[in-house]
Amino acid sequence: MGLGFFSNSVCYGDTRLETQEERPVPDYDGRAPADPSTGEVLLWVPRVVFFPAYLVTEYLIRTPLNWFGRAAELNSLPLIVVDFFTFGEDQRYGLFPSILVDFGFRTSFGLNFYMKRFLSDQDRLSISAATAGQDWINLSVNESLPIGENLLEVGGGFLRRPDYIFHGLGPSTTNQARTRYQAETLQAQASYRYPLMKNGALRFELGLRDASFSGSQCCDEPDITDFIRRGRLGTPPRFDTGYTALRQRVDFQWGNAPSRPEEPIGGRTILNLEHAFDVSGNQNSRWVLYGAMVQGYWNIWKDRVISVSLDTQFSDSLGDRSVPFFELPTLGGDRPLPGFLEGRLVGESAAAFTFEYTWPIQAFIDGVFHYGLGNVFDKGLKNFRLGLLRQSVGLGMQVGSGDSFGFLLAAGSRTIEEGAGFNNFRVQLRFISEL
Amino acid sequence: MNFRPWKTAACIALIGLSGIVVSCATGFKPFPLRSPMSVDRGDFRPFSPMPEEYETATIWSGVDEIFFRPLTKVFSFDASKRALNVNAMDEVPDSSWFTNRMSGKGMTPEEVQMGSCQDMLSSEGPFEVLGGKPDGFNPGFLVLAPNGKRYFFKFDYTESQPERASLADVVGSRIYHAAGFYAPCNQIIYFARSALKLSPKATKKDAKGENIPMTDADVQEAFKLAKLDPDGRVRASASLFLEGKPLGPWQYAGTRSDDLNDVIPHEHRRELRAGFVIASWVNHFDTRDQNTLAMWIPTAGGKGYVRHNIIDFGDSFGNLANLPNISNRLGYSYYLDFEHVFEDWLTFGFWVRPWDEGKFGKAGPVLGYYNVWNFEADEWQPGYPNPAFAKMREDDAAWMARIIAEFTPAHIQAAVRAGNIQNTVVRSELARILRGRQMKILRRWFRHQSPLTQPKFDFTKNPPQICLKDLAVYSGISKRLNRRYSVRGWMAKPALKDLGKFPVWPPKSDAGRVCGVLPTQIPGHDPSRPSYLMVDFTAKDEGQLEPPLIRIHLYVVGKGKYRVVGIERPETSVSPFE
Repeated sequence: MGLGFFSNSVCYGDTRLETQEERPVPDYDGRAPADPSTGEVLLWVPRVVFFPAYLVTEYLIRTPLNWFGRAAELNSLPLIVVDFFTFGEDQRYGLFPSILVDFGFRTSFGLNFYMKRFLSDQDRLSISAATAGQDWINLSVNESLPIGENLLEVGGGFLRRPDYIFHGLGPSTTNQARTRYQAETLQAQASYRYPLMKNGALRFELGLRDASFSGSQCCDEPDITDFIRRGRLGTPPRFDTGYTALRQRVDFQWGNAPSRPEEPIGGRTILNLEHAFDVSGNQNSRWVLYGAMVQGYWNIWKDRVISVSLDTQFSDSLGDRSVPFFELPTLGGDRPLPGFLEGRLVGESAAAFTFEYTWPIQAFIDGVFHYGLGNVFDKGLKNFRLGLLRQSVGLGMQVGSGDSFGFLLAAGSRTIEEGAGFNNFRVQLRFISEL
Repeated sequence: MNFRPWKTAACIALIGLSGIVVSCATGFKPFPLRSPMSVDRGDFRPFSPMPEEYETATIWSGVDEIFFRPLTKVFSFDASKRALNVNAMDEVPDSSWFTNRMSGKGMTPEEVQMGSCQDMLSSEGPFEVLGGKPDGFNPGFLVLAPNGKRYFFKFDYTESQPERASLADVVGSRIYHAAGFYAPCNQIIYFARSALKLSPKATKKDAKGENIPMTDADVQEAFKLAKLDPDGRVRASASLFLEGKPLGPWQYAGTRSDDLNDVIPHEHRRELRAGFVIASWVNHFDTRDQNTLAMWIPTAGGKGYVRHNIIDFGDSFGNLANLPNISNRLGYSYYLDFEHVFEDWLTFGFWVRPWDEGKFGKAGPVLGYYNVWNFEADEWQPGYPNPAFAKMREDDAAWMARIIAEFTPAHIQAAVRAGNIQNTVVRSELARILRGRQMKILRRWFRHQSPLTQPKFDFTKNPPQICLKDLAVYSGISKRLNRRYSVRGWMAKPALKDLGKFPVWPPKSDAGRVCGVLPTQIPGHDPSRPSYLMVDFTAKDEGQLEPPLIRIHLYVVGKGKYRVVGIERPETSVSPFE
C-alpha cells in the first residue's frame, strides 16, 4: 500500500549566522502569533495593580536572596555555619538559637550551647541563655550523665522576668484583675531517674530554690503592688518576703506518651509528690505538692490520635504559713488548659480534663486540637463544682512534642456560671533550631 | 506629577477593553505552505567560546523553589501560555534537548533495551579506580574500563531495597532515552572486588569539597556498604561518561546567556514542561537541576554546541527515604508542601490522602510505595516545585502522553530487562506497575486532547483518504469496537465554507488507524492557487460526551494532491472561523 506522508519534513535554523551572536528565536510553526484571549487581556489589570508588589518580591527579596544563598552555598557557607555552630570533632559542641513568641508576654530570644562527652563518653552539658530585654534574663545549666540505664542530672539556673501575670487566687478571678510582677529565682537541683521494667520510671530530685518578688511596670499593665496598695488584690502568699525552699521530689511514670509512629492504644500514669520547706529562717513554713495525671490514647487510623487525660494537682501547708503563691498549682501555659496564659489560673488545687486530637499534616508536623475543662480551686478541690469550670480550646501545629517547634491558637473561657464565654486568647510560636 | 488613581484605572480598563476587542476581532490563522520543522537546526549551530562551567546550589535551589519563587508568582499573574518550541504538527522538533525516537521513526524493544548504549560493558575488568563519585546518595567510583571508556560505578546499599537504586538508574535511563531525552548509557554490571584497582592518582572530595588522595580503605569502605551477590560479586550501575565536556547542570527555568543557541526560556520548552508526565510515570520525584548535565559537544575550529542531558534516575520506582514518614509521600506531596500542610491542618486529618493509604505491593519494600492503585496522573508531585512542570498545560501533557502511548508492553518489558534484576517478582511487578501507570496517564491526558495523531494520506484509495493513528486504541485504553468516529471538513480558501461531514472508516485492527475520505471536488478551487482545507476528526468511546478533536490543516496543491501543514487539538468542537 502506498502511503503518502508529509514527507518533506525539514530542518530549520540559520547556521550562517555569526557564531558570536545569539540566534533569533525560531519560528517553529510558521503561523502568526496567537491573539491574546480575553482572560489573558484581563490579567493585565491585576498585573499592573500588583506590579509594585511583584517588583519588591522579585527584585528586592528573591533576586538578592538567590544571589546570596547561591553564593553562600557554593562557598560552603552552610557547612561553615554548621561547623561554626556545631564545632569540634564529631560535632562535639553546638550552639543554636531559640525564639518564643507568646502574645501577652515578652518575646524572648535565646542561645543554647551543648557539649557532648564533658565528663564521660555519654554525658552532655547544656547551657542556655535567653533574654527579652535588659530585665528579662534566663540562664540555665544542666549536665546529663547516663549511668547504665539510669540518668543522673545536675543543674541550676537563674531567671528574672518582669512580665509574670497575676489575677488572684482561685477559680473566679477576672481578666480585669490582671497585674504584672517581677520574679527572680535562683535554683539548683539534682535528679536521678531509674527505669522500671519496660514502660516505667522513677525519678528522685533534690533541689534548692530561692525566689523573690517585686512590682513591675511591664507591658503597659497595672503593677501588682498598686493593686495590693489599693486593696484590689490581697497580697499573694510570700510575695512580700520571698522564700528559699529546699525541695525533695519523687515522680513516678508508667506508660508512654503518644508519639509517631503510634502504638494503636496506650496510656500513662504520672504521680508526683514534692515536699519543701523554707530554709530562710521560717521554720514553720513547710508544704507538700502532689498530683496525678492519667492519660489514655487511641491511634484511630494512620497517626490520627485521640487522647483523654485527667490531671489534678494539690498543695498543702504543713506549717503555720501558707504555701508560697509561686509554688501553687497552676493551669494554662504549658500545662493543661493552654488557652490561658501561664499564671492566669493559680489556686491551692487544680483539676483539668483534656481531650486532645493530633493528626499528621506533614512528614514531621502534627496538627493538634484540644478541648479542656477545668479550673483551679481552694485547698483539696474544696469548692469544686461544675459551674466553676472553665473551657480551653485550641488549634495548633507542632513537631514531635512541640519542644522544637510549636504554633498554637487557643482561647480560654469564663466559668460556666459566668456564661463560659471565651475571653482569653492566646497565640504562641515556639522555635528552637538545633543544627 | 499628580497620581490620579481614577485615571490610571480608566487607562487599565481601556487597555483591557481594547485587548478584548482585538482578540474578538481577529479570526482564522492559517499555517503557511511549508513543511513542518522536524529539526531545530539552529540549536546545533556551532559557536564559540565554550560556556563557562555552571555550579548549582543544591540546598538553595530547593529553598528558592519552595519559598521564594511561589511568593513572586503570586504577584506576576502569569497566563498559561503555549510552549514556544512546538512545531506546526503540535510536536517538538529535534534539538539539543530532545530527539524524537518513539515519537519519530519508532523503536524496537531491543533498541529500547539498549538505550543510548552502543555496546555492553564486560564485567571482567580490571577497572582502574580514578576517583570517588562526587555527589549522589549511593557510594561509587569513577573508573577506567578496559575498553578505554570512563564510567561511574554506583552501588546499591539500601538494606531494605536491594537492587532498586541500580535498577532505577538503568530502567529510568532507558525510558527517558526512548521518550526522546538525552540520557546516559547506564547498565548493570556484576564484578568481583578483585577487578577494581586503585589508581595511584585517584582522588576523592572531602566534606569541604576539596580533593584529597583516595586510599584502599576508601574502596573497602564503599564495598562494606555495597550489596554483594551470593558469589561475592558487587552489583553496580555503570554509567558511561557522557560525550563532550561537562558544563554543569542546566536549569528548569530561564536561559543561559553564554549559550548562544539557548533562546527559549527553559520553562517554555514543551519537553521540559511535559517532563512532569514521564517523571510521574516512573516516580522520578528528584527532578531538580542537580540531576541534569549540560555537555559541550565540540565540532570544528574550537566551536561546539551544548547538549542537555538528564542523568540520575536512582530515586525512581519507590525510593524509601532514610527519614521517617517521608517515603509514603514521595510523588504525592512536596518535601514541604504548604498547600497540603494547611489543607490537612484545617481539615483535621479527615481528608484521606494517598500517602495515608500507601502500602507495599507484591515486591515488598524493594519497590516501596510505587504502585498503580492510588496513582493519579495529574496529582503527582516532584520533591519540590519544578518551574517547568509548573507551566505545563494540557497540550504539553498530551504530547508526552502520545509518546508514552507508543510504549507497548514489549517495550516496557525490554526496559525492565535492562535492569537485570535477579528477583523475578520485582521484575514482573515493575513491568506491571509501569503498564498500569501508563494506562492511567493516557486516560487522564487524553481526556481533553485528542489521542489521534500521525496523519498520513492513502492515495491508493479513490477518493483518497487521510488516516490517523488512534493512540487510545493502539495503547489499549479504549476498545476498537467501542470507538465512534466522526470527520468533517472546512474550507478556508478560496472561501470560508463548512464542507460538512466526510465518510469515515473506523480502524480494522488494534493498530488503531482511522481514515476519512477527502473530497475530490473543492468548490471554487483555482488550480493556480492552493486551496486550504481543515479536516476535524473526533474519536470517542461509547457514552463519552464532548470528545476533543484533532484539526488537520492541509493545502490542496493540485488535483488529488494534498499537503498537511499543521495540526491543532482544540478541546471542544468549535468552528475554525469562530
